Amino acid sequence: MHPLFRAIVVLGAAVGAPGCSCSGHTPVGDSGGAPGTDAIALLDAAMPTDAGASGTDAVPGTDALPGTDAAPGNDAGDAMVLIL
Amino acid sequence: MELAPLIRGLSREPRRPLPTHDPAIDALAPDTRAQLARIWADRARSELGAGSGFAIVVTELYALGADPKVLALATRAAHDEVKHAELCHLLACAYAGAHLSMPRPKRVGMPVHAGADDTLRAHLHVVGLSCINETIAAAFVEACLLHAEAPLVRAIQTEHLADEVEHARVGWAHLASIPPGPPGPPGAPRAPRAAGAPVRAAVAAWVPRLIDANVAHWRDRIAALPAAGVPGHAYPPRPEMLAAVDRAVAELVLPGFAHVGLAVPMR
Repeated sequence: MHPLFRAIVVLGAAVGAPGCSCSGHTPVGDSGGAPGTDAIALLDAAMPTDAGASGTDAVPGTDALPGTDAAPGNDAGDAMVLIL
Repeated sequence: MELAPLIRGLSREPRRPLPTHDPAIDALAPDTRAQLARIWADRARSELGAGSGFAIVVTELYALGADPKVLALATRAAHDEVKHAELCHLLACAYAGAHLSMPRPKRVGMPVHAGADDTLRAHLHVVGLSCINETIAAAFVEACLLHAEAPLVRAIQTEHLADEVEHARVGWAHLASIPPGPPGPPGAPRAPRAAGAPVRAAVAAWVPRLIDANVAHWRDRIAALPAAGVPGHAYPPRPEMLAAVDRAVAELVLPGFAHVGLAVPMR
């Protein structure tokens, strides 16, 4: 599993789950950890351990296929990738 | 180059204080410094674009009646991107050894997603910008951070990584907030009216093309970066950057959709 999976997906989904009181934001932190892990440790620390369900029991339908006639990939605007 | 005034002028303080001087930057060859100054100046422009994208997504989340926690995270992300632009501009100035102009903000164009109605398009913008782009961005920045030894670069990349993680959470939180069942009754106060299984299925059907389009953009941008990277200055060799993107899709994005209960068709 990717080392960021819990920090991004699990805790992110927990923020949106009904009944969760966590905000998903960590205001301050400090750590001397390894590159790439210290910031995440800070974020984890702000999340309650009982953050709640994440919707994994959802069974979405499969019969709605909107917009399949749109050419794939040709309508991605500037905002799709803006981080580099 | 005196960085302290630029640091004092940031629109929001970073989580940790930034160094006001970086001897590792001073020690670089002039042509490498100029190259990195151009790269970070371009990133400053891109970060302002990301802020514009998040600002648009915020208004769309309001239109969807999104969960207040999602609104709060997304609104903060829009502000974060301004801070990122300032931090990238700071790095550009540090590498250039001179004060450069901040790029001019502009409103970015969001994908049209022909065939989607306004509601679905809004969901797709959240998914494309946050679940896919920002999740890949977090993994990319993490890979860059492993090659960041220059103190100022490392401090700024650490700040970026922490923020990218939160920006990616916007989308996953939003999807998790959409109830898995059928739409709620008319008059329901927020998302449930427009949510439920049909929305999840409609979004899922678009995910493969969103991923493909997004990854293509990342590959294009990485192709413009130094092939051998810039050791110590947060740019790994190009194959490593590309691998970080591929791994993010395989180990974060696709499992992420499964985690929040979206049945994404095979790519």
